[in-house]
Amino acid sequence: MAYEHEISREHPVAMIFLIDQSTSMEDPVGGSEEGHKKAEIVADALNRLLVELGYTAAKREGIRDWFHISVIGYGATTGPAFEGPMRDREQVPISELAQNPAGYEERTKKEYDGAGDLVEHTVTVPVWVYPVHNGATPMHDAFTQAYTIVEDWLRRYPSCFPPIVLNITDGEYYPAAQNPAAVIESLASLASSDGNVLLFNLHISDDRSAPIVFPDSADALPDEFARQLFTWSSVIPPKMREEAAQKKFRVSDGMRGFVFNASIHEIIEFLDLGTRGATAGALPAAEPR
Amino acid sequence: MRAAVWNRRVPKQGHLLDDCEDAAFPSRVSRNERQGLRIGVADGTTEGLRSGPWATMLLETVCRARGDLRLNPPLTRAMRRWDQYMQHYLRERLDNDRPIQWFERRGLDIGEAATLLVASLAQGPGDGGTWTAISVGDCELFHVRESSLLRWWPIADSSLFGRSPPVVTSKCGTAHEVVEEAEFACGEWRPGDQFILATDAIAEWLLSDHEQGNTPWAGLTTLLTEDRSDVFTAWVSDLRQAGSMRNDDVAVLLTDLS
Repeated sequence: MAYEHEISREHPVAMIFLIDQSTSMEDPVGGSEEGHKKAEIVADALNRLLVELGYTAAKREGIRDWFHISVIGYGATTGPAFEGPMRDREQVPISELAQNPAGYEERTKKEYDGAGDLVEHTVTVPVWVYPVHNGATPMHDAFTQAYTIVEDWLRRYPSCFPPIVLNITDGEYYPAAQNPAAVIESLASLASSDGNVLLFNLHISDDRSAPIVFPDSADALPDEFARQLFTWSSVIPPKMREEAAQKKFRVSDGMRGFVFNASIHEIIEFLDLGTRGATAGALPAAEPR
Repeated sequence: MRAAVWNRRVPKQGHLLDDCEDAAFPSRVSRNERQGLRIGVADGTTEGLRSGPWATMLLETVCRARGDLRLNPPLTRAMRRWDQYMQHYLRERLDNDRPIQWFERRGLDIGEAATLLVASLAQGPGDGGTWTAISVGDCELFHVRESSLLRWWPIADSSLFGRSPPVVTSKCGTAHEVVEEAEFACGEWRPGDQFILATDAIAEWLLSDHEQGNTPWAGLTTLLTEDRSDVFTAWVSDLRQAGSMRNDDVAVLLTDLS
């Protein structure tokens, strides 16, 4: 059965995030009461996810290199999107990423205290990616870089849990002459001994239209661009389907890693499922209740 | 009651024995004549930062407690001891200019967790006696008589391993919740019986092998009573490489009663 290999320091998993940094990412996310820009929401969600991955892999005085992370931004330029000490790094093991954030931000966290009261306290968390919104949408270039990263990765780790590529965009690729279809097809055909590369796509909404989440058919999709992203998205493997079911998503055998018209909630769920789904059952786990 | 106890611990492939988060009690081979004996295994969860030491402390505290076998108050004692241990550990880190890093913070806030299985063997008026056991989680007890499996507990079927089991956490204030999750069993033993206590990865393999109609007990006894520990380690490694056993820490304890 595919997508079953264990994730370990000897057999880590590659996670590649492609993030649209075009000018339109300055617009607010559909459904955002506070008018948060799409670029801000995506950067924030990605930073939060990287923190979660750090917690997951943490051990005493260190981090197990279960994950190797790439973040490729595409806009005016296409390339690594880490800031700070990891700037220009195409792929970074999680331990190195954890020790070298671009900076720290304060967040307010609400938790129940021992008396059952909700209390606020401030936590300081690391960040690695900042919002950028400038230029066109050279999706072809982003997927080409992803292909190079994945091809090299599979050469080094031929029996790994397959690499996961998550693309987050708010619109069609541009320049229109640079259709990424061929490179995406090539990328999707790459495989480890445990299965093909997993390719997930998320489209961020401009408006309050209902999101379409993990569909199993292109029938209900509103336009050609949505249908294109659907066909570019991998079928979700069984273990990830189980995770989706636990999160109360409607599941089916043919459901794909694709979200259209996502708002803040779907962005977070998409990233969580796309990465945690890889680790569920692949890491030795017994979670406290 | 004469009891001979052997145990083995094997870390995950590629890890050192110091990294092994599974524990066994007693931690050394012993041969004794006594009225009663307490044995146990515990399995620290991977998410914890110091779950191995918690598993060991918890197991020892429950096993060394006097009186009838029970989870509380030994559990509360273990939690308090752990609190003191962690305070000392954090002070030491600060004193040695090794402050807690951001990725360790959540693990410290959540605390440690482990599964636990402890059995108490008592001499009866005749040649045999009785046993009682407490379990939280998915460690397994195998009661073997004349190379046949008489009883296995608490996991009834090998397919039931691999799910998120209940665990014993180190956080004070959770003791009553843990006690609610605990399972209890009891039975009788005769001279010549064996008790094998095992953490989940090897327990799953043993139960699965039994379900396939095999009798791994004699072979396991030979491996565990072998003077050289590397023989058992090599056997575990072979099973892992064949894909028959999950790559997870292993702790297994064999008690021969006579």
